[in-house]
Amino acid sequence: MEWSIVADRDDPGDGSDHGDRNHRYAKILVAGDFDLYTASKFTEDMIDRIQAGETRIVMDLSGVTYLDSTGVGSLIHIMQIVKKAEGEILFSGIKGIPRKVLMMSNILTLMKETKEPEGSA
Amino acid sequence: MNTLIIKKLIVDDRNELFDADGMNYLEFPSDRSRIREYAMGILRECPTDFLEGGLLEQQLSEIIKNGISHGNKGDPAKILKVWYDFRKRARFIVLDEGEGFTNLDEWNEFFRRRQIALFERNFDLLLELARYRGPTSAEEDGGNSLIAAIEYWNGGMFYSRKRNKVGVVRWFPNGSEMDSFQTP
Repeated sequence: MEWSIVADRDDPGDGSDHGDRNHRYAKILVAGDFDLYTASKFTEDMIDRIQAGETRIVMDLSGVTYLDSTGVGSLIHIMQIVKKAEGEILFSGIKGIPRKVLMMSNILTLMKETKEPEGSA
Repeated sequence: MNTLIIKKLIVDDRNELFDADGMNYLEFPSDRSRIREYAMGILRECPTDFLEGGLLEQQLSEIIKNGISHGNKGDPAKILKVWYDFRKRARFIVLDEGEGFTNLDEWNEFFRRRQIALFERNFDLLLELARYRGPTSAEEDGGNSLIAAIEYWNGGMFYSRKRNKVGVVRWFPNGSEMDSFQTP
């Protein structure tokens, strides 16, 4: 599993009404297997970022090929931390098995999704 | 009108899902680093239609993880026993050497509150209840494996009286007709 900030933008970047255009959003690109072997490091890194003030995030999960309950727990933990920091987290690219797992866990309904337009950073 | 149907984990020592007669059998040391490898090994004999693009492996890995991590506490000296059968459907029995899922009733209460929050679309409460923290919960586990499991194992999910053995079954759209393992 790999993750990186691929863009900082002044809005969520989807041309929709999601997000607050008065704030900068960090776009986090996540790829690979998001599971019990990888999730804890990702959670720690994200919590560090949020506590450092990066409280508005667009998380692109289009590259996630596998998601287990540990990964789901990580996403929930991050959402809880962002809410506590009075920030906002948006998600994009949730598909395939990860989407099914999030649906079965009744977590997808808690995730605000945004669609990244083609050709954007 | 929407109706709330509360789902929960069920303890039923005599359930037919625990009848291992005719099932295949494998056992594994409790090595956390090999959980997905174990699941994939079991599924080598599984019909492709049952794999559902990896969902069966994901869900089987979850119940193996529960047995190895929560049941056997990752002790390699403790064995995880798995019975499996892919005739018409995917059926598994997983037995660990642990003391059992002792806080199952507490988890059911947590899950009940969470289902009500979802039904009432109380998303603030739902987010608060999104992670279950029991005495043996892993850091990022949150009880979500069981919530997804109740949805996924559409033919039933039962625990033994000691609560260290779980029986599950999933039927598939292209599988044969339901038989006596179907839940009421």
